[in-house]
Amino acid sequence: MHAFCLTSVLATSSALTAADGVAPAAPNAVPAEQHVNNTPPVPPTPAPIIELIEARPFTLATSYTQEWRKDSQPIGAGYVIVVRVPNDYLYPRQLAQPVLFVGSTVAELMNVGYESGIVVAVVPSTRNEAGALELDLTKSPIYFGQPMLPETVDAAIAQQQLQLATRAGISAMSAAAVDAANEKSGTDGPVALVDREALDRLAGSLVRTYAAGETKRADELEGKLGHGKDAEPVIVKP
Amino acid sequence: MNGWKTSIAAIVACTVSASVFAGSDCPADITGDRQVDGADLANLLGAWSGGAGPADLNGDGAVDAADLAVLLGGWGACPVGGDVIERELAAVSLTSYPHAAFTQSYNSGSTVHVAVDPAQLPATGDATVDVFVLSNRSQLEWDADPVLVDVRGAPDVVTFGATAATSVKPLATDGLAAGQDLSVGRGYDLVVDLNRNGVLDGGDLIDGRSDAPGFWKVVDLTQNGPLSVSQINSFDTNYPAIASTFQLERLYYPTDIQNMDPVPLIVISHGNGHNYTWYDYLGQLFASWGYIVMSHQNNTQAGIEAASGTTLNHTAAVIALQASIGGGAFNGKLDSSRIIWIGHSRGGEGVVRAYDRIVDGTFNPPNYGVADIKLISSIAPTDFLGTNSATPHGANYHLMYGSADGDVCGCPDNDIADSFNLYERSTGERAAVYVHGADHNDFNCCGVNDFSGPAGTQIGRTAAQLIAKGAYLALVKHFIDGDVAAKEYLWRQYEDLRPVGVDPTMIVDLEYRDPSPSSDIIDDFQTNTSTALASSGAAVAFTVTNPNEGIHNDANTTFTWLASDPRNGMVRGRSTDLTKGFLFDWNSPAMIEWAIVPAQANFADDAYLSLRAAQTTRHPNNVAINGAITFTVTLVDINDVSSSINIGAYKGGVQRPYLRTGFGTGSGWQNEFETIRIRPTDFLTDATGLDLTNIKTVRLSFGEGAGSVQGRLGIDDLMLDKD
Repeated sequence: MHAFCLTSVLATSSALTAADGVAPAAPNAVPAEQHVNNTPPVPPTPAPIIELIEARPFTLATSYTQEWRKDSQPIGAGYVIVVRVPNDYLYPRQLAQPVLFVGSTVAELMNVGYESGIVVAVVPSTRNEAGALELDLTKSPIYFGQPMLPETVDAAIAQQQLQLATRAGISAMSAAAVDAANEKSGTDGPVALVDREALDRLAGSLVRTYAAGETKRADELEGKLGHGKDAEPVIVKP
Repeated sequence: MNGWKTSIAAIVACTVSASVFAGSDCPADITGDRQVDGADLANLLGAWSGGAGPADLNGDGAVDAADLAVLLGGWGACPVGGDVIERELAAVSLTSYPHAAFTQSYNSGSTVHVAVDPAQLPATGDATVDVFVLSNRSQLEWDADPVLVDVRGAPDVVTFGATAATSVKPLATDGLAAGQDLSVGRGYDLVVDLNRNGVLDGGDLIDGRSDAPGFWKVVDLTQNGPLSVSQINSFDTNYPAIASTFQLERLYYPTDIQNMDPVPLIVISHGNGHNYTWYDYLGQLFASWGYIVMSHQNNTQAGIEAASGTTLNHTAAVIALQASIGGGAFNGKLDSSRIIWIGHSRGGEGVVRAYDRIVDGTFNPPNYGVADIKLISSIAPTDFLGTNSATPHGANYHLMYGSADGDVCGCPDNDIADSFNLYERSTGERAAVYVHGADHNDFNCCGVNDFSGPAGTQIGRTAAQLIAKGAYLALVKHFIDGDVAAKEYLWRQYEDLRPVGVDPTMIVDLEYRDPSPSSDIIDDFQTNTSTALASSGAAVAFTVTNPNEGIHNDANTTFTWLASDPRNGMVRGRSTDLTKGFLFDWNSPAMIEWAIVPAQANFADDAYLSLRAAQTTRHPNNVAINGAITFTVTLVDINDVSSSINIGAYKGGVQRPYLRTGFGTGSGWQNEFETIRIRPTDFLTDATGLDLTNIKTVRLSFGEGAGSVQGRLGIDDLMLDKD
């Protein structure tokens, strides 16, 4: 830093006009019709799904803690469901998205689903003393609740969402539809899985089957990535 | 120029720096060519019987025989001697006062100018000199070897004018090599060899005599670096603390890393619906410049807490598992004491939340700590968690944002969509890059096209990522490596300095703030909420109209200008946030004037006077201007000597907001703060007589004669920066 004082010299200054040294002006107003907006608005909720395609009940030998719920308990059983929904409900957005509920249970989405309109989801369920799943798909509507973060959903919020859905006339799937979805799974009763990784693989196989264009996501869930050649270094910039 | 000799005397008398011009060692050299000869004699005889002036060699107010005696007594070459003068010399040429901006960083292929102010350095007036560009030498090296060896083979021969305005000269520097090893800059020293003897000696001027260079030539920051890069496409961490669905990482590192010292770790946390494989452009950039990069699966769908958990645990995992990743390819070479977190959208909030969780003790990393997080960067982050939980605290923080973001939109009706909330909460050193025409997913490879803005303004992914690469390389080099060459890219007007590879039509606004103790706050509006009182405790006077001091929070849900919403467009804080500023307008000449408290009065030891300013969107005054806004900054010293600079001199001005529509009538999106930094010494140009050691007032002047004839601005963070 170097500084001088020059008491014998009067101060001088200069000022610019507004146009000096600045970028040239562009048109100031944009007619609304020339405005582009590629992001679809968040669709209204509550909203029903279009179709329950498949439902696979499962049990786990080792439970896991679900992060899609504020008051989450260890998860040891539930359903993997495949549902067809209006695409816009799955539009990948950073702000709050509609949350998929089954009754008052938050469903964990396993794929993006926006392009296919088909999403695979894990729906936790408790079991009764006999070991049967307590969540009854013929009594629990499947619907999109209000936009929010799943991790903020507690029992009160979930119950409120169910009430809104019920009031909106969204009802559970018919027994026939649920039976058809169960039959599609080709299993009789819950699939006994070892742990969450096995559940991921199951979900991955369903993503591969139903969600066109998401084979990479299926690979991720099925544990096909991260090993072997995939995990070996390659030189990308010599 | 009347008073020329008197000015020399004044300079000599008032020197305040330890290494400054020591006065003319050759008083009879009227022409400044380091020779006392016939030209000087002719000059003196031409002024015979006149009054004070260059020919009045003894300064008695008359040109007479006494002066002739002085001239004849000094006949011949000027003596070598006196002090070497350390000055800022490397400069950018300006079209108006102060005529030159003394800067440190110059793009590869650009022209460096040499600038002097003959009013302050009389020996340079009309002088023909040799200007040497030399490879940077340390002070010890200069002391040991003052011989000048120009890296270009020969010096420039430059003839300065009589004034500062005519003494800014281009140098043949376009071809200078840029960058050196893993530094983005290559340092050079600049010497004005006044006596043209090829040696740095008495009376010569030097920029870079200390260990630091006089200027840097900087590579194209948009380009990958010199190192070969290896990539591991996917690694399954199988790390117990991470949910099975989010175990995968993609890694990038210098291929030859085992022959390098341990290098910093850069972690990339993607956004919702995004993928860990979508950031190759950043991963390969950073690795090629000597960093390990890990991009991981991120649990963003559940929410921000879940995302922060994946960032925290993946960081721990890559440190813990380095012996097994890629067969231990970078084992032992990861410096876990230098970690950078970069997050996008929900992941951008996630990295901030992750830091907050370590700070508040709700997460204790097993193998790193809060002090190891050297920088957090968010690309268009959400703000779900709000004031107390989505805060970077005092961490170094950076924000990257696109004005055409159709997702995290910066909308006035939803605090979650206001990315700048997080930036404003940062109390550390911070920087922001606001890119006109970029959308949310332009910053990854493959997200949906969410562009929202006027047709024809979409810059696209390629352009946005070039801007991002340039910004990120400068950012990391500055914050992690202390690479001085990178710092000016964080704050100089983009119109003035942008990475070489960025198209010159791109519009980018930069914010930068140096925290205390590197800065001295005059007024940041956080304390002393009266409009008549600065944060420093000194008085504030103003004649601008419709003043408003408060939180940077748009009070309603539209961007339509309404007098009832004086903070329109300030989508930078929730009602619970603390960030505050000052807004005002003018339709005729007006001013704001801050008194300076005695403890801050010495501006001579400060590197910059800094403030940030933003146009308020859709205000009729700004709509009428329809472009960038300028105003004038004036310093007044204790003797009422003043000096003024119009900010437009440094190019750019205060940018008009992006002309996006929606949320009411009119065009214009959120307010865009830009940082303006002026060297206090710039106010001395043309020997203004300003006493920088005793400034009593800082004044901003608006309106005709001072800048834009009307406008409405928000201003904030008026401070003095040491560096």
